[in-house]
Amino acid sequence: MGPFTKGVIEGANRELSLEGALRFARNVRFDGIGRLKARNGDEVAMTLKVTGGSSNVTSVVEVIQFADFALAVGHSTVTDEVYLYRFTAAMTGWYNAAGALQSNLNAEPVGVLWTACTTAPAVSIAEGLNEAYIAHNGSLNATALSFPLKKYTMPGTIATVTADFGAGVVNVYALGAVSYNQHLWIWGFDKTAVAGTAYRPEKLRHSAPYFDTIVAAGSGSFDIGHRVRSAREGIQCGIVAGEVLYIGGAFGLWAIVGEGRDSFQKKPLSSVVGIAGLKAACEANGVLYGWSYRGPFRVSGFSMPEELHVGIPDTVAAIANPQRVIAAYDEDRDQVCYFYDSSGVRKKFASYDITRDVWLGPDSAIGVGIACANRITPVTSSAVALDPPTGPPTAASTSSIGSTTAVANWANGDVSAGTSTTVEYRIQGATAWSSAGTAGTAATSFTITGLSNNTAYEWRAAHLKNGQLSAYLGPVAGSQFTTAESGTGTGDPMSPPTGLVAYDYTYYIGAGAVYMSWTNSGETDASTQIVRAGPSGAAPADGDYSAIVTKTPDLNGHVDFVPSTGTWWYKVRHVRGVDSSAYTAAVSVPMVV
Amino acid sequence: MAGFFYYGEDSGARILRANTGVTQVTSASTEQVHMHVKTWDWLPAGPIGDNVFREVAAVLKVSNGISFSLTPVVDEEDQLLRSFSVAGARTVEASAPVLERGARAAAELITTSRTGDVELEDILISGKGLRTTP
Repeated sequence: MGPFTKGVIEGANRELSLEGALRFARNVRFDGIGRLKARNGDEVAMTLKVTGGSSNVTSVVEVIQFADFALAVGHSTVTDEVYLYRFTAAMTGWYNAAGALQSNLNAEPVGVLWTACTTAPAVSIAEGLNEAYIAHNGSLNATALSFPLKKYTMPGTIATVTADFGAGVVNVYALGAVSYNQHLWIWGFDKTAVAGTAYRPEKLRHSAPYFDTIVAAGSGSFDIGHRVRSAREGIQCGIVAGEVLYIGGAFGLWAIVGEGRDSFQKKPLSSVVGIAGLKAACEANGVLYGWSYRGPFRVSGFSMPEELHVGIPDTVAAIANPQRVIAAYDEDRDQVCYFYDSSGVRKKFASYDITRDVWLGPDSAIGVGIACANRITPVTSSAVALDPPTGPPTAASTSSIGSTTAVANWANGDVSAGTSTTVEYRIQGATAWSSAGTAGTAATSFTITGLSNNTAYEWRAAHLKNGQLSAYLGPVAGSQFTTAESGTGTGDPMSPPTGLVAYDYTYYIGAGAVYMSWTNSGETDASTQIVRAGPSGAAPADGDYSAIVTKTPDLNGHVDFVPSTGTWWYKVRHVRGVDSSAYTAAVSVPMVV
Repeated sequence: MAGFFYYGEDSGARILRANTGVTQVTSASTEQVHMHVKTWDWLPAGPIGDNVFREVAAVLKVSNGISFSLTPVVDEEDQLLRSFSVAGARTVEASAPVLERGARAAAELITTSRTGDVELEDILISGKGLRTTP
């Protein structure tokens, strides 16, 4: 492994491998052989608008590659319409209904798929020959036919798919659609326009070759399982992986192979493991990765599904509605990512590294980590169904106000493991907040840096736990302050160091050794001057101290050797040119030389 | 470089491009992505031995400044957290003293502000065994 493995533990365990080094790692990734780096973030690629651009959609329900482009589907609860969008493959621009490329990032639809749709639908898109078939997962049930299958033809034509099964042309309804071997496959619909008999959730039906008409009967249809219309054998998802079309029921999995309508054959693979939902499976390098009611699994060819839940049993148990799991393959990271959208917020709760064959998943209350994997990767956001902070921070005060820094202080409302405190600041009267940073568990202060001199600021703070924020403390009187004037003469109000401590290090280093450390205040290019007085049983006067050394910027420790037995006193301050900060409070250390 | 990876907002209008930059999109604005690592416990004298732990140290390579905290943990008790801030591109060596006796020690590192790449090169824990597990 990489250099990170060297000397992770000093001394006795030099041979420790990476697997023994880290209990958890959040928001990190490997680069190269073993470089452990902070992972990247994300950015807004495109914002979906309703027709005319008057407002945003309220939900993005699908994004896929399509030919040399990308397609997306959005829904608006304002218009109750479902829209289709087309982009460049890298989402650097979008196409209008006339096919003209627009370079801005506020996309308008190429057309409306369905109207009078009051809730965001789950949709599936099957790619044909420069055509796309879009199915609404709530298109029909035992009592109603609502949202027929649509066909999109570039640049801006959207039409309802129809078929004649011998009793006249009827609209085609489908709970889902998938493309396999030049045939369109749909499920959930039989050859009638009567709701009660059209609804066949166990029925799979395919088109004539090359995405021609839906086949009427016989070789054009398959029944999955034997319990007609049972929830157990209703088709949830159809997906192609390798050479196989996999059809998943809630508790069953079937494989279909063949090259034409007379050669298609089905084979049951499991009556236990299925695909929990429409989006609960994806293909990665020819292998199907899915999420069943028993948890994650993978399958290739005609083999039995290989269940993967043993690596993350707590995670599987935390998923209350597995039908809402979304699986996606991140090619950049070679990971299958599982998302859970129970509260309307995207949450990646676990990933499977397909090259290392390991899970990257939540670490109990800590958040997403590597507890179950011993490996590290980019994983994002908070785990599912974990606790928020128990209360907000309180009692704001501001101290050590310098020309460019100030220290925000608070009392904690939650000091449990995994709780941090995020601090933001702004110029008084401004609307936007800037991030000052995040303080660790149980910390009660944070130094805000990068301020301008002689300026009125205010800060606010909130606890952060499991990706959830508490209420903010501030802005209140105690979190408002004005930075000091800046100058060049002696006595300029530089912010002093904090947290000076000194210890007898005779045991470790030798006779008379005193180890001290402090926290730098963040003053740019500020050195730290150390002064000493003693030996003295009582606190010496300021004039009794003498400088012993000045440490270069960013250093925060020093070892001194005292010449005689007694109690020795130390103070430190920042210096920069002729400027200096105040001294810290004196600390003492009794020594025997 | 492989393909592109996008998220669609279930409750929103945005499509997000993953694996880019050092900030991530939230419902309201953006937030920095922060590294958070913790080592397994080091037990130089065994599970019920006695040691005096001296310090924990971290070595990081940064491309454009960083603030981070380093917390020694002895027998599962957090010790005094130390905060560090540096500017520019450099290798940062930071240490936090411990001076506690105990059976086990660990270190926890959390970045609190960053504007560039951060690579964790090493975490070290030092101490001396006083009494080994029988």
